[in-house]
Parts: sequence; structure tokens; C-alpha cells
Amino acid sequence: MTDDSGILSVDFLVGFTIFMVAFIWVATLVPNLFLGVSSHGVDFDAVAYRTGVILAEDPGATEQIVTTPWEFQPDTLTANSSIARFGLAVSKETPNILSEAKINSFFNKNRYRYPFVYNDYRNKIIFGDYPYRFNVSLSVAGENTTDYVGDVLPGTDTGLVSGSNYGYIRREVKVKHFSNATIDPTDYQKFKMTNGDDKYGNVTFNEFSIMINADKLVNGNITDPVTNPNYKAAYQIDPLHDKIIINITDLDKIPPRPVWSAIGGSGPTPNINLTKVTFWTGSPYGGLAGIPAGQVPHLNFTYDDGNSTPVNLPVTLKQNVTFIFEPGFFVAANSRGAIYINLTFGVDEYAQDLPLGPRNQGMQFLNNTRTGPWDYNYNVTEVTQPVLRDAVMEVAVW
Amino acid sequence: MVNSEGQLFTIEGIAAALILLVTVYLVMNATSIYTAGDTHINDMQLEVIGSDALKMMNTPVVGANMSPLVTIVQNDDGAAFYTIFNNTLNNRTGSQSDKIQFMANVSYVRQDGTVNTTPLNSSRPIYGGEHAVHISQWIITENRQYPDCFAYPNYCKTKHAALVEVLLWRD
Repeated sequence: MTDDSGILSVDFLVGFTIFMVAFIWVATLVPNLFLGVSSHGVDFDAVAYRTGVILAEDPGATEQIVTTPWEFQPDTLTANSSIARFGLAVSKETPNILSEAKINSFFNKNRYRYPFVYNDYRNKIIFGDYPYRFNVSLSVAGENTTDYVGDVLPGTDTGLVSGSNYGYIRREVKVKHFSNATIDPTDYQKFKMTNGDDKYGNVTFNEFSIMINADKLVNGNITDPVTNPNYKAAYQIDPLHDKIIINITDLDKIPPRPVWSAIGGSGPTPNINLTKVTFWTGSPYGGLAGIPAGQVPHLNFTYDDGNSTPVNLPVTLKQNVTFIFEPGFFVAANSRGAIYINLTFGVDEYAQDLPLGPRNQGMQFLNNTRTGPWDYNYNVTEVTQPVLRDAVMEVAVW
Repeated sequence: MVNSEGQLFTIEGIAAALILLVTVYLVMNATSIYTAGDTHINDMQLEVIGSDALKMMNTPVVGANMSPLVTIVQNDDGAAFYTIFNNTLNNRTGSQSDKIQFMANVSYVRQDGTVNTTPLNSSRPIYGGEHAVHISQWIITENRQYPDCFAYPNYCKTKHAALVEVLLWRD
């Protein structure tokens, strides 16, 4: 005879089904319930991605009332708070092309203090209420050092992708390097940059001027025909925002020294002084006065004979002089005008065997008052153009 | 004599099994939201890195020059593509480099209107099991030196578009 032990009853099945339906319903809700708190992995990756986009594709911004770009803000609490967003791109039109001036400002650890007093990085690249920790690093091809800001990465650095204990993104970028120019004896001859070779050319004060035509450089064409019109900002020389380096070399060779000793006198002892450097810009502020005081070292730009520390004028030169105008030096200049840098050289030589007796007399020197200013332009034979170097930036957030 | 002790009765047994299976299926389905999200992020990271790398290869170093990518495609120089792309793709700020694999093709329209796709280079062959993402970049070439150009020398000299497509994956 059969009995009913071991048989599932209909009552049990109904009860079990109701329980299971309820269980399924709750289980479906659970992931949503914890989405906000348990998905930090997803959140970290998203924040890292956002930070990477801001740094690589955005030029950064200041509050609307401030007109000077963020990278030229002075190191004060007020000025730092006027920066709305850090961004390293040269312009909005050129994503992934980073500005060297912005990189130098961004990775300047003495300025934006992390994680101590001002917490600038968190407020200007990470955003969000959660106090994220982060690490931003940038490595440029050909340079041995890696710039970084932020905390030390948690754990061993083998994760690379989501699933490790921090959110991560990597951006392949290029860094726009600055242009520079060297004026050497070839240029002196080519552009006739000495005063005449007659006796009237011997003067004791020589004026030499350099023109940086901001209007042509910023608004004109880089090449003819135009290549890469959309990427103009990546290749242009922007004197208002870029560093400008001008070397003048072989000053002792202009023009070749006459040999006086043949007549019995001692050789000439030329004395080359750079006495004055003045600027003229088409700025609405007049000169360079538009730049806030103390922001850019308007005095320290002259380097004589390869020395690494700047000198104040007047200075006695032997052979070379270098002018390094840091980024933002001309930021207040008019982008529709030209910047003129006028150099005044005091030059004479002491000769003993002249008919009138020993005395100082003038000599021919670097002087382009007759021929017009030397032009800082897109001519590759005169000016070393900006080049783009490969770099990689990594952002980790946790 | 046969009795029914210890025996699962058919209809109830099947019903219970089905209920259990459906339950497990639905629960698994409901919780797999994490996996989907994570995969998406891996893909997104690969896509960002790859499209950055290709875009940077298509950016000239100085304004007057052609980009390395255009030069490589014009000369059909797979070796140079491997060196530059592999370096850009796997470059990191630390000392360890990444290990992303890639396979690149170039597609262009021939004179007879058909689309031809030729391999550019790859880090290793793709077998089909890889979970690869796809990135691409349009370029304009001029005076291309492809193997098929001997048949249409004049056509290859003119400007035309080519599409560089790359598959990226991690092992």
C-alpha cells in the first residue's frame, strides 16, 4: 500500500512559490539599494575619467571678473581662489595638446598646497563632495623626471585597470614646447644689422630693436599654404602666453676688430655695455603696466654669457646675451599689435695711437636703426618653431 | 513489492525544479549589474587610450609637416607603425609599461570603387576569443605607395581618404 510520506503537498508548493516570488522581488531591489554606497569602483573610474578630460582637453578657467589666464595668477590666497578650474590644454580647439606654462604652474607644489591648507587641487580638478584622494602624474618623452601631485598610490602599482583599488585613466598627450631664436653673425650680415661701415658709423650708443608682432603671430597664418587650420593653436607662437627666448651671440665679432697694434699702439680694448632694455607694446594699459605687480619678474630676464642667474642692467658683455621672457611676461600686450624690445648698447673702444691722442671712440656695432627691427616670426631659418613632444598623463582617484 | 517511499512524484518534482531554476536565473540576472558596469569601464579605458594614441600619431610634430600616421600609411611602413603606436599606446608615467595588444588595418577605395583593406601591423594575431574594442581615425593621403598602386599610378598620386582601424585588447 502506498502512503503519502516523501510527497510534496500542494500547500507546500503554493507557500514555497509565494516565498520565492517575494525573494526574487527583494533580490532585484538589492543592487539598486546599494548602488550608491557599494559602487565606489565604478565611481572612482568615472571621477578619474572626468579629471583626465578636464586636464587634457580643457584650457582651464578663472572666475569671470578675472581676465588674466589661471596659470599667470600670482601666488596669493585671493588669486588662487579666483581660479575656477585647472586645465592644461593649449586651447579648447586642441584637445590633448598641453601648454608647458600650464604644466609648470599646475605641478608647482609650493603654490597650490596639497593636501594642506588650501586644498586647491580637489576643488579645481576633482570636484564632488566626497573627499577623494588622487594622484596625477605626467611624463614627457626625453625628460628623465615625472611630474606628479597628490597622494602615494594605494597598494602595488600593477592594477592598471578598473578592479584595482583605485579608479584610473591614462591620456596620451603632446606637450607644446616654446619657440626660441638666435641672432648670430650670419643674421648681422644678412639683415645688415650694423651701423654703416664709414667713419660716421662709429658711434658710442647703438640701438637694436626686436619686433614680436603679436597680431601676425596670433592672427596670421603659420604656413603658406595653411596646413592643419584646426590645430593652429598647437603650432603658433603666442607671445602673450608663451615663453620667448632670444639669444644674441658673437657680440665680439661685430664688426671684425681693426688691428691697431701694427702702428705701435696697444690693441683696442672694446667695451660693450648693455645699458638699457625698454619695451613698447600696443597695450591699452600702456607699456607693460597692465601686468599685476610682482606677478612676472619684469627685471630678471637678461642672462649674460651663459650664466644661469639673471643680471640687472647695465651689464658688461663679453660674447653672448640671452633674454628669457617667462610665460605671461607680455600677457598685457595687445594681441592686435606688436611688441618692440629695444636694446641700447653703449659701445666704445679705447685707442692710444690716434692723431689726437689716446681716447675713447665709438665703433660699429649691432644697430638696426637704419634697417628696421629684427622680426620674431614663423620663418624657420630665423626662429626655432614650437614643437610638440609625446607625453603621457595618468590620473588615479580613490 | 514496489512501494512509493522515497520517491519524488513527477509533477510536483518538475514544478519545484522549475521554480528553483527560474529563481536562480532571475537572481543571477539581477545581480550581474556589477559585471556589466566593470566591463564597460575596461572597454572605455581601452577606447580612450587607443583613440588618444591614434589621434596623437595623427598630430604633426611641427605645423608644416605631415603627421607620422599619414607618412606611415603613405609609405605602407608597418614597422614604423608598430614602433610608434606600441610605444604611445603602452607608455606610462611609471617605469612599468602597459601590455595592450593591437591589430591595425587600413581601408581605402580603389579606382574601381571597391574597398580594399590591407593590414598595417599587429602586436600578435587575433584568434577570435579576445574581447577587443575598435578605434579608428580618418586621414588624407597623397602619393600613396601601396602595392596595388603600380596598376593605377596616377590615381594613387591624388589626395584621398583612408581609414585606419585598430582593434585593441588585453590578454
